[in-house]
Amino acid sequence: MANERQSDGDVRPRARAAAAGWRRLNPYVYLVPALAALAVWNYYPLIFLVNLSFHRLDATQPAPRWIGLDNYRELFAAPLFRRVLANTAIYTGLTVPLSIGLGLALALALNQGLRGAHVLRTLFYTPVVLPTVAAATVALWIFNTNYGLANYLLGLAGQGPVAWLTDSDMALSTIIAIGVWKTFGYFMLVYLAALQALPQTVLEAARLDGARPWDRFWSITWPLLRPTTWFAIVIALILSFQAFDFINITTQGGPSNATNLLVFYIYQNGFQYFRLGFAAAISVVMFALVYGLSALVSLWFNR
Amino acid sequence: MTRALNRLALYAAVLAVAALVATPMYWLVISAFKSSDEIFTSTPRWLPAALEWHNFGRAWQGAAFGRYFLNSTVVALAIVFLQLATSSLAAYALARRRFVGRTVVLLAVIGALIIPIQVTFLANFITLQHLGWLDSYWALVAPFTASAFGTFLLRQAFLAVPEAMEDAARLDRCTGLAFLWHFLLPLSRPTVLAFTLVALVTHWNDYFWPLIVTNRDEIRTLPIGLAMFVTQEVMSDWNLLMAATLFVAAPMLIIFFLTQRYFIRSHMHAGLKG
Amino acid sequence: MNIRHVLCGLLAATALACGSPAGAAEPVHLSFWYPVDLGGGLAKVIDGLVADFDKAHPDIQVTPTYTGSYDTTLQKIQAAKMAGTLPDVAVTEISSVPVLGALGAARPLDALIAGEGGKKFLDKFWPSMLLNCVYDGKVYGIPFQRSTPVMYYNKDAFKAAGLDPDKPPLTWDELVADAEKLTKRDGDRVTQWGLELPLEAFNWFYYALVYSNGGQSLSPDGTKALWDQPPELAALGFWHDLVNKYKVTPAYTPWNDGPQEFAAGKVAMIWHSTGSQAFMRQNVKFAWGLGRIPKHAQFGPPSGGGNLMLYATDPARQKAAWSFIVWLSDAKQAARWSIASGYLATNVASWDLPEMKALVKEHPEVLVTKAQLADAKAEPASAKYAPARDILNALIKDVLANKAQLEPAVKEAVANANAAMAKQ
Repeated sequence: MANERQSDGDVRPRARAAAAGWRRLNPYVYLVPALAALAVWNYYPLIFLVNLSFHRLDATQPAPRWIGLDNYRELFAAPLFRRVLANTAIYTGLTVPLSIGLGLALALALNQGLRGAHVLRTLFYTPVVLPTVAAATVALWIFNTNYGLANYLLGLAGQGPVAWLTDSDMALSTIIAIGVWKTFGYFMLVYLAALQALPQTVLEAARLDGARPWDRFWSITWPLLRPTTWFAIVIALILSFQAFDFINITTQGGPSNATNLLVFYIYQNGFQYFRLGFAAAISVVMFALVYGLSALVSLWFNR
Repeated sequence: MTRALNRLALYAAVLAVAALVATPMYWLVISAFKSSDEIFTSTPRWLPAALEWHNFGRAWQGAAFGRYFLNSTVVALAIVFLQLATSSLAAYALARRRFVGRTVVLLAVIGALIIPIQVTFLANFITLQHLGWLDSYWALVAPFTASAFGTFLLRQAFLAVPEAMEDAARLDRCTGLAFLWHFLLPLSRPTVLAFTLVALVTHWNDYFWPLIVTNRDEIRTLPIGLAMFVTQEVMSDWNLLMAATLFVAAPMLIIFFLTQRYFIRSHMHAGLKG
Repeated sequence: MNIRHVLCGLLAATALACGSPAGAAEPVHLSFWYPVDLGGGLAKVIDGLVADFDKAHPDIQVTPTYTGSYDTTLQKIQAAKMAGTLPDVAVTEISSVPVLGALGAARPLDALIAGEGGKKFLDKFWPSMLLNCVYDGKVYGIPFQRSTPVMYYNKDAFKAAGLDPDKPPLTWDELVADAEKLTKRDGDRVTQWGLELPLEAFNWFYYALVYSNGGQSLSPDGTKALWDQPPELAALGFWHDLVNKYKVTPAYTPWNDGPQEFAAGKVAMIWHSTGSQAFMRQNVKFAWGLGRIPKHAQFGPPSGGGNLMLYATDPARQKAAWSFIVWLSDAKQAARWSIASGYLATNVASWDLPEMKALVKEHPEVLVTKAQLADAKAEPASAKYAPARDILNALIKDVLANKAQLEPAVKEAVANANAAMAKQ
């Protein structure tokens, strides 16, 4: 921070010390509003959850009672938990790359100055804007087995009908497709913003060198987008673990737990079974899992 | 020649995705204009026999949408304003300043992103009760004062602004908040805009939290009105539901359409290059 | 409005009473939470009922609050219980009676009922509708927006298949025979199903089949699943056969799709809630009728819907809340609510009122729902039943879709359910 010292110029020592003190302190001052609010509304609930996870609190035990690690023991022994973990792994493993990949591809395409790009940008963003209640209703309708649009179109091609949401072998795939449909527009937006911020000089130089578009992308754009991609993956990861509204409206985790993901499992235990201590334990496990995955992604990107 | 072909292929691919997105959207829009009889036909009807404009009138009557509109606007704007303020300050510190514990703070911010509302709402509900804020605008706004997401997103954008620019600005005695305001935020305009839109949409559409913390109709928001149309035992008026959806989503779509040109490189940015 | 009450209480203690002190003309303010599960217009019906109550009771003022679905209402109550901001009165799904009772959120009503005439008061309701109102020997709920399943059938399709359009099937055997005649195929594709039993989370039609076969599904003490017992096993086997042997029923029709498919002529007979009558009246263009849920050993449709429950703890507010519940469940209001919503009139006297008679005259099929009120049975419920309910739901879907063998799957499900209900 040699520059900072320079800029102080010929100010008297005491004032300089005060300025230096302020400089050391001011990052914390800037952080206070955000961190204070996060502490009250995000970190406190987390502590509340961790504490609750060591207690039994349910319909027949309305006052919390300390039970140590029992909730965790029960959770790790539950066959349904393993099923839910597998579902969640599939859901996350597919929605994250698909929605980011599609978002990046479209951002790159729309960044080429295509005619009508502004209309397409708006179109791709509309699913993000749509209230979940409405999106889920339309989805239920389109994927209706007997007279939904999807099977109608398949029928025109001589295929189907497919039980999109009511066959336990099919439902998770449908939910994944809908999840990608609803979120890729957001990643398109993130990449568009990032592409606009790239240093044009470098790209221009490569173009003048005659590098082909594909090579230009891999050798210049993609590395420059690295921080954005890291960000997008972390966000997509977190979003994929929070996929709740849609599932609650369309499949309720079914049929036969085929679409039961971690967050729905929490909801089911906490608010349908009233097993708050147990639900808190699942929440803590989920937190650790998502945090661990995000950390791995971050390590890989910042190595 | 190959260039033209490439471009054609690009168009084809983009339009294919556009069709996948547009078909359900078209279906939503057109359904809002259909009569109840036309909603469920054995072969889907692509065009309604007549445009039933009065669906919108009927849907509007279905709940106190005027009041809900006002509430949603107030709440969403207040949240976005607060989040922009708190997030840009925090992001500035995280991206541009060195201080002890920076990594820890960044990790903590990311951690705050992870917990879904389905599990935080109980604790936050109790906090609001202690503060005496339940069933008020405070309950709708306060829990969203800070945004871990916004802080994270803006930090990424601020990192991309070259160090040299900060040195140059410092020579003009433009440091700290002034640098944030005059350089970082304008230079990160696409990201600021992207965040604003996402935050606006999230809180405009939020259903669960307002339903849980409010009891009075006077302070409730649009999605609650929308949910009054959605039924569990029978869904009979899908055309009305779609009509209501359209006027709930319309402001966000219009805002996006009007602001999206700012995602294109700004003049200022172009002027600064090189 | 609840928070205001809490603050009022706190402030009153420090002599800073908000409004005028108690005892003066200040009315008692009550909060009333209601879910709407049947379509937007019903919120207005509730508002109208509450306004009339307020007019008739100047000393009480009720503030109705729409609380989303049954699920979100339960979540609101749960949060409110933990924060101490419970409403005074709320409508919740009937199977949550034991949970809310065990949790200490809802209040037992026995003392208040005794003050209202005891047994005489309870006798005003159809006995079957009171079955899901009791937990641990105490009454917690008063029937309000209640329903049973009923069979909707297409009279035109009956005629076309050579069946008597005024004689819906009354037994399982007749059901299969009629459904076979009503199922139309075009090659492999079914163009008209004979019968649909749509699925929802509460397993209503499983209970309907089990009860009509003389089974119980859940042991009376609410601790053991009986799905592997002969009547229960035969009931699920029968359902499996409808789908996979006779092939007259699709494996899985989502609950909300059922009425639409019936209206679109895709299915000739469908079991659905009595609450769907309003939809059918508006949307079905052909002649249709209502039939009872067919019997095998006996008639026995399960009941469903929501009860009124009381949460107020302060005696004065309890009294006011109780008078609201009594008023709302009284013959006149029960009839008004039933006519507007399609829910059953749970008060026996409602059916003798002129407005109800007018409804019966216009829609004589309503009498089928009245007949079912006489032999309806309780929906299985206990404080720990919900996980078992979901296990049963998965079992049904797997068996119907032929993804699991009936007997081993049932055995495994029973073991899982019993373990879940025995937990802690």
